[in-house]
Amino acid sequence: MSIRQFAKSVVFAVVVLGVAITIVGTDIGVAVAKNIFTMSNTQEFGTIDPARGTDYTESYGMLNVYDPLVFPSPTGKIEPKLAKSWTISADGLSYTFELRQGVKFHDATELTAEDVKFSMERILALKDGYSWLWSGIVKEVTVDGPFKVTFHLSKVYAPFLSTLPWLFIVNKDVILAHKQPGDFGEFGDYGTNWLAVTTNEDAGSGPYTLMAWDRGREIVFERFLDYWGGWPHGDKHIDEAHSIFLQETATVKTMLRRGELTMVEHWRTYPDYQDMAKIPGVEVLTFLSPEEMSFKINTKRPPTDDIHIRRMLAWAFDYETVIQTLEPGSGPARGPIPASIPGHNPRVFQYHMDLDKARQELEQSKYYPDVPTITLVLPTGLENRRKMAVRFKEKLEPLGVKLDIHIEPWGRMTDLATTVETTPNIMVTSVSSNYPDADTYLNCMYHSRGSGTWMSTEWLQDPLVDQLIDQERTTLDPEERAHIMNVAQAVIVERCPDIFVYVMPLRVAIQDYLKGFTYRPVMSFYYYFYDWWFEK
Amino acid sequence: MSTRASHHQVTTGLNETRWMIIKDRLGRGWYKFRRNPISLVGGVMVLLCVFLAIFAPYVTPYPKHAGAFTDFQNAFQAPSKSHWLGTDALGCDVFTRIIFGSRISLMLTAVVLGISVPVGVFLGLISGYMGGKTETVIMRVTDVFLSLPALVMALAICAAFTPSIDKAMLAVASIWWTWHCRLVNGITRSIKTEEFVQASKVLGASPLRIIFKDILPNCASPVIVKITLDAGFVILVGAGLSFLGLGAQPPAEDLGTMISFGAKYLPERWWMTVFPSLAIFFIILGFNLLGDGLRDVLAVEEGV
Repeated sequence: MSIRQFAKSVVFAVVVLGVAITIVGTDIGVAVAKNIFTMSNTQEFGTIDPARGTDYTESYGMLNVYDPLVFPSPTGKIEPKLAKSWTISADGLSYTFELRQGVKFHDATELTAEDVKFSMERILALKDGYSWLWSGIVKEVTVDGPFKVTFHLSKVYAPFLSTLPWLFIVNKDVILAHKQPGDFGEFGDYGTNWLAVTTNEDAGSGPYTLMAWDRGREIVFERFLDYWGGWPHGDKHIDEAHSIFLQETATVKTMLRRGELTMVEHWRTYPDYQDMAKIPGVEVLTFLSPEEMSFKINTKRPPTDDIHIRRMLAWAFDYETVIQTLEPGSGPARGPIPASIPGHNPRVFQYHMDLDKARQELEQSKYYPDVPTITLVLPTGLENRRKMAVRFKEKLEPLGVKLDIHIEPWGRMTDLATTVETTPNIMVTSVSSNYPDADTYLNCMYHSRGSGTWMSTEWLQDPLVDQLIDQERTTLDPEERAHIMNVAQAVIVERCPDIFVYVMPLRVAIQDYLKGFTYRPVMSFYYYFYDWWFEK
Repeated sequence: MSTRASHHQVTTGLNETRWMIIKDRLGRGWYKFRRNPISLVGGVMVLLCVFLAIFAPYVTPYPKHAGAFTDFQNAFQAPSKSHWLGTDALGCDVFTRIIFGSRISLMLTAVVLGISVPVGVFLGLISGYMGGKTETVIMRVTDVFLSLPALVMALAICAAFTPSIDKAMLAVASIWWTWHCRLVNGITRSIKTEEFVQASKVLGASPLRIIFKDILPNCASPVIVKITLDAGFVILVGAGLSFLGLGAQPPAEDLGTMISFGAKYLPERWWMTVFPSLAIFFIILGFNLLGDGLRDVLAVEEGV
């Protein structure tokens, strides 16, 4: 009896265990079948609130959870996204967008013109994130129908359409449902406190939703199955995307080798990517970024206030070695605008190394032969810039020109850039685009009103250049505008305010089963999980 | 006149006896030093470093590599026959740069101790001998400096200016005197009550004479020992500042900057970090062994 009971219970236990294992097993089976993508990033995510985020991690957070009206193509052309089509009034002051119908937010409600109006008003009111692109320019947004919206500008602003990929549309009802008391009247705090603390909710319509967020460590996005664009590669798409904060490149390489990372972002050094390319099953992709590396010369400080000294420096720089040896995969620079950006002038003059010409310029200088020491400052931690600076010093020594190299923390460099007196003769920095239009560089780097930032340490302050930039920004005819921008670039190059070195390459390391990586010349718009799928 | 002559004879006699005593002590000291193989090794290590640093342009295979030199084709070469310790990111010979880098480290030590030891010893003597308000003021200032870690203080000073090796030297020197001040102050306070000091006072010797002729020689041995032990620490602080980017600026490199730049290429290109680290280890070990040896020797001299 007791033995039979025991036998019975044993049989029962075995059956229960078997069933349990089967259930758990299938569960595990399902989990394994999910496509889980992991990537490294070099900094924490501060926020993914579309009215707040700016840097590269925040940008791809916003991009994947929210949709903009328009989207940049791989060539920088502006293409429809939430907006099906648009018309621009003859005076260039109003832009009317026809919205796509049937777009669902993550809470299954429909996206309408009201949400677009609300999103623009919210970012302008909060005065944060990318609001500077439109503040003082967008006067009013009117709803012309459930799926029709018009932006009224206070002045003609030719690059307006190119800036709109940064306007991410939020769900008005969800934001207002989560509003807390704040400075914006009926809108309270515009839902900022909610978006600042939530770790698994969002107000977007994008292809991914915020799933989990362990601040300072990891952020997880989950596929939104009802995305209006559909899922062309079906089950091969990424179900969960993890972005992990990993500063140490040694750790990143180890994780990539073990298959724990699907992608390594673009912030590591070239030798690191060389090492990663040697890992079996890992591929390193190289693109030309929208970021140009230049030696920015202070045109107001002796001795570089003398154009002959500036030209001497430009002739003495070893472009070829730098491009071929230090940054293979980079593109030669030609003027201040990278070639991948619409509006680039491919015919401007570009220097090459010619020490005889450098000497001729030097001898024409008013400072010759006792040229004061030229100070050069570069930011800490960027190996290639240090190597370039030492190479430069090596080339200048035979000319009898002294170059003093200093490596400073980035924060101090931005401090030095605030006044013309504290700005060193040369600062080694790179400027990236905020939107796919040459204006982003011209306006930030060379217009007098931009002086005092790290982007404009040339202190060019040239009336002709100012005038050309103002003209370009208010000219609607594309051909005429292109012509003005070409002239502006030629004038700038003639003044020689920079040594334009190269267009920086953008490298990412991926496991070769990841397909569909698409480069676009706007910061972080290449980290669009929706593009990708697994081919295992 | 005759008294003066006899006084002269007495002094000469005294000097002779003193010289004999010193010779005897030196002999015993050297004997003790020689018998202690560790201190001998330390002495040889330090001498070797100093010799290599002084004659760096003649003993290194590629003296050009110490300045603005780049050869990117030959960057990141592993240790080989032509480059014993490999090459760095610029293609420079790591061995050459270590020797030239140790030059900066030793220079830093010499400048820092050259400024801070005389200042510290002088203030220590004055405060210890004078006592009262003078001592209170000097020693409280010393306490304030001592309460802050040397590296943190130096960091603050360096960060306030444009980083360079000169600023780093001044920054370290501006805090290092406090250690010597405190040490000498203590010794002075105990010595000034000794009978021979009292005797000098009674004979009408001036305070300056007492401080420098009677008290200072008695401080010499602990200060010398401290200097040798300090040398290691100063090199370490200097390397720390350089590692953090506040010391030597390119193309000059001291051992700290070499480690800092090399660390970016770990673990694959280990030679850029490991060899400069070993060089620091070698110099500091040398100074510490020497300091230990000297302490034993000078303890003999004092008859302890």
